Amino acid sequence: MLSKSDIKHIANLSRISITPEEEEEFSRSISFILDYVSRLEQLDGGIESGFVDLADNSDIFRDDESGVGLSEPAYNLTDAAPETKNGYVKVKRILQ
Amino acid sequence: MDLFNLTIKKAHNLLVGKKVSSAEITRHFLDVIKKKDGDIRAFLAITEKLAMKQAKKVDDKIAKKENIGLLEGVPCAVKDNILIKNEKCTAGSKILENYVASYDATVIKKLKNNGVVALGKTNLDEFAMGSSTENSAFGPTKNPCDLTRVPGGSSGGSAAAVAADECIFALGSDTGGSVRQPAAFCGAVGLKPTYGSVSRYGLIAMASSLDVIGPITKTVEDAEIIFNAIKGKDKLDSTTIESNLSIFPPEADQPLAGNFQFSKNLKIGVPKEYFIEGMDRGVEECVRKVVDKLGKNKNIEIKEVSLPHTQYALAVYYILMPAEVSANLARYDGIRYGKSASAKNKSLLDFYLDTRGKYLGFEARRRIMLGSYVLSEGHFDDYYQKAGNVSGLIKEDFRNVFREVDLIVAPTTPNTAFKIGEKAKDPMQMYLSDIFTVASNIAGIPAMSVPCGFAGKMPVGLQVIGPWSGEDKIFALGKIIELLV
Repeated sequence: MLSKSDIKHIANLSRISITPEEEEEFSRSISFILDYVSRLEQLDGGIESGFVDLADNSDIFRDDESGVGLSEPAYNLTDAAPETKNGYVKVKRILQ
Repeated sequence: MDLFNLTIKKAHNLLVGKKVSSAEITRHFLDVIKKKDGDIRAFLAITEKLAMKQAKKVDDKIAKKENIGLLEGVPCAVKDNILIKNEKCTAGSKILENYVASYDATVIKKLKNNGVVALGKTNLDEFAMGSSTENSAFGPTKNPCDLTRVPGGSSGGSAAAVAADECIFALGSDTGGSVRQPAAFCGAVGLKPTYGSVSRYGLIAMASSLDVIGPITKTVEDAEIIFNAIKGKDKLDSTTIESNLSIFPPEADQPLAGNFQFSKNLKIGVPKEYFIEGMDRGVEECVRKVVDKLGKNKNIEIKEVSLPHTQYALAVYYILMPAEVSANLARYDGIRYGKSASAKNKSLLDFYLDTRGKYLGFEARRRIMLGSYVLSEGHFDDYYQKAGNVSGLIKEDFRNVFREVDLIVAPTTPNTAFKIGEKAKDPMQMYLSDIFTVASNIAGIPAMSVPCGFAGKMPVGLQVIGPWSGEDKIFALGKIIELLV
């Protein structure tokens, strides 16, 4: 069972705020799900490369040529940002 | 002119025969939506302007006596996690409530090139996380067969729109059953194609190693037509694969994916692990009845098979999927797009916490946190690594069975559509509705739900599961099943 402080820690790692009432519900339900998935422990081994052969297993690079990127002007993208200034996305100061 | 229950070919023939114009067909569906959708709420947005513009283009072509392709002027609905340029795309989330797509998804580009008309965007569980469409930030969709029941999810809006005849076909996305389960619940056909056969470019990502876009339709033939129109390698999605079948763009007189012919003997496997205790007896009876009828066909051999790791599939899924969710949803930081909390007098960290806490729903946050946990230091080997290893065993199960049989048939879901609110408080109960569908996503193989009767008055779906890139086989059997039901 995950404690409330575990939940607070995970929420913080996930960059999510949760209310005190939600802490309880998250703690209960996430513990329950983890308990369900722990049935995998019954199985020994498995196949090591299990999840890497989903598709082509090699690195894929695009051709080294120009014009493959976005063909639209940049403002189509910057317009989607909640705050912009002079065509740039405005962000908060990182270094205080 | 009766425009109800139109399939793609019926609509095409009406257009070619000049019985009706593309604008009239489009207007018909917009009217049906206006009339019915207040109750069903399949649509989050109607793209009327775009639809009428697309219809006019087709009518202009017909007026000039130009030939039109099979899909030209055919109206469709699009799940609201697939981008259509200059239209809103919310993914059912508050955090993207105002987001307007700046480009077309590859599947949309392909459909546009084929002349398809887009009627609107359909409701879904937030970021496609759910099995009932109740997790949408914009309210639940109702099942057209019974408005007190859920349409399934996460592509519940798309399935409901098809079932309510509000469009000819719809696009959904399937990460753990999100096309097949709602199709089963609403009585529609739903195809989850082979992983990588359809480009994910422009699909709002949930779990990238499992996500695939697929059609929800009224008939197997329509699913085949749409699959063939949207599939193919795409340099904008490096996980796409070259498809061995190429009939794009589809033409009306072309035999569709006719590559697969029944040989003398078609072997169908029925996995014993897909008939479990606690499943709806009506569902089991419907599926068994179809299996028995298939068995009477001289050219079909039914064989019981075993997929021994089936019982671990859902556990694998609830590790791999949230792990990928936690990474994919990190981009909703309130800075680059979507909604953001007030930034005044706050540190950057508090700004992130507030934005994501306020605008991401409960289920989305639960899965992000679950993902962060299984990927965190000290837990990675126990969860993510272990799930990856077991996913290899699940794939091996299918590889072994497909050495013995051509296709697998099984129920799509253990139960029919449940009541709205019935499972909302118990996440594990909700997750269990995907117990028969998740294994195909983990293995990356194609599977299609086909209506196979009713339990009570609710539709039941039968799932045809095929080997990698075996869609042509699935369609062939699907068409036989349609005739038997």
